Amino acid sequence: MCIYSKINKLIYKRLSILLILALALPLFGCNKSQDVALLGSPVTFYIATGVTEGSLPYDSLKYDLNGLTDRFNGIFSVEDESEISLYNTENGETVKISEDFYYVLSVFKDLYVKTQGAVNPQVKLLVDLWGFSKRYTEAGYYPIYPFDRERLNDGGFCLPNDKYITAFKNLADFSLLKIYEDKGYFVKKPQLSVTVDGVTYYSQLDLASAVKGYYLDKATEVFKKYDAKQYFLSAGGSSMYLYGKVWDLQITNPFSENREGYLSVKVENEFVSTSGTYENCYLLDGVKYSHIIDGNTGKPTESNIVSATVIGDSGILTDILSTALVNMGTEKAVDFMKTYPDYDYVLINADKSLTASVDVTYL
Amino acid sequence: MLTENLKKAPFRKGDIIVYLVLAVAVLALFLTAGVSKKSLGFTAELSGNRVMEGDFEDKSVNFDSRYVQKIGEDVYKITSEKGYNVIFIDWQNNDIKVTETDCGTSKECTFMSLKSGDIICAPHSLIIRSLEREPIPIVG
Repeated sequence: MCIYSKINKLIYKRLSILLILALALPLFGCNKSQDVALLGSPVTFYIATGVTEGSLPYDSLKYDLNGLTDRFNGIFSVEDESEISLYNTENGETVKISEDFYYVLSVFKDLYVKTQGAVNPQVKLLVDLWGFSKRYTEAGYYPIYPFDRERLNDGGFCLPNDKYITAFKNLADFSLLKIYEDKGYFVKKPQLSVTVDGVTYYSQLDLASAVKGYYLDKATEVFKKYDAKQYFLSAGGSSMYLYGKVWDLQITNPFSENREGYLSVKVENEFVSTSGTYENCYLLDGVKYSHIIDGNTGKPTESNIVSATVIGDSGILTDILSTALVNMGTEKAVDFMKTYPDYDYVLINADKSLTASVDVTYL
Repeated sequence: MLTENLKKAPFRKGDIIVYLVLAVAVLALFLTAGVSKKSLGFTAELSGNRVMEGDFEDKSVNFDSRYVQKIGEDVYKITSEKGYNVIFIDWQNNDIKVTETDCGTSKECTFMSLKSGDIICAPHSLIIRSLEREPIPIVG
């Protein structure tokens, strides 16, 4: 074989291997960022100091955060195999649950009493009845339950039938749910059922108004483990934790369709949660119907508060309280918050007036 | 032609070395090739504690005098119990250079540029970090 033929053979062989490597390498790239989603909502964070993006501790932190998110989704998401979904379909009287599930229920039990029902996780059927479950936002919605309504031409729905509002409100008596510990964690399901037009319904739970805050309570342990010194962490955009310095936190404008800042408040080493009637709602005959259901009436809240922000040292409490305050209305909310003197609040009312226990600045 | 030569050229032991070298070269290209990003400022941290910060836009510098001294025009000395690093702030190019240090024989930090990433002096636990505009937290 002549020298040129040998060289040719060598070159082609090496070049082909190099080409394969170059094309394959992106598949094994390090520091691949992965989207973290808690109950379908993004979890984001920013670290100012302490852990450098791209470093091994940073990647380890993200890995741990992903693990925590997977654990929470496995308990609280609406996916068929989640713990809460299995609970909602379980016909037995007593159900064994995880420690996280038990803890969230225990906090809800306490606040259900203290807020006189302004927060109530046993309203899942009402949330679905009023059109705020996930299936309504998915393409290809069609009625599958007797209480479902056809879509109107404008994409909306007519109001639900009163008989279902009354029936499902009767299933929302959260005081009948009991929890206890006995070499494990258990919940005694309320023996509640209603029959409408020959179909029987049972009470179901929706813990969404606590999960993001509780997630942050646990997530801060991850950041502490990796010694993040200044950071903020957001679960779904409505619950946050800000640590390490005084942050200028913006509160979203509830009167604008763009997610722009409206107020600024200084926060350091605290959890913040915001609930509002602007987040998920629809208009029907000039009336706004919000996803925040008042378990006492069985209907979307008619409160004058459009946005309630609570600031404090517990993620789960700020999350649940922000929802409770919206249901209470301004006067009751201000009175109620006197029982939480270490917590601050910012209430934005429908007439654009402001009620706050902390200094805020208009942007 | 390519297919023919691949068939005619059986795999030999010596080829492993060639492939490894090529793989490392390509990997190095991925890991080291960076995109210079516009830096709006910088911070210097000793063992995770911020001791200095500067803004390239308004050419301002703040520092903790317990650890940082100004020793010349745009020249600062950062000192800890582990040693010292002298840095020069290149305001024109939004860059920082370590011009002198006692961190050992390799002095790798003196070859780094803020434009390519963080400047790290591992023996002194010093990190000089480029600052882009910090995101604003917003809730609701």
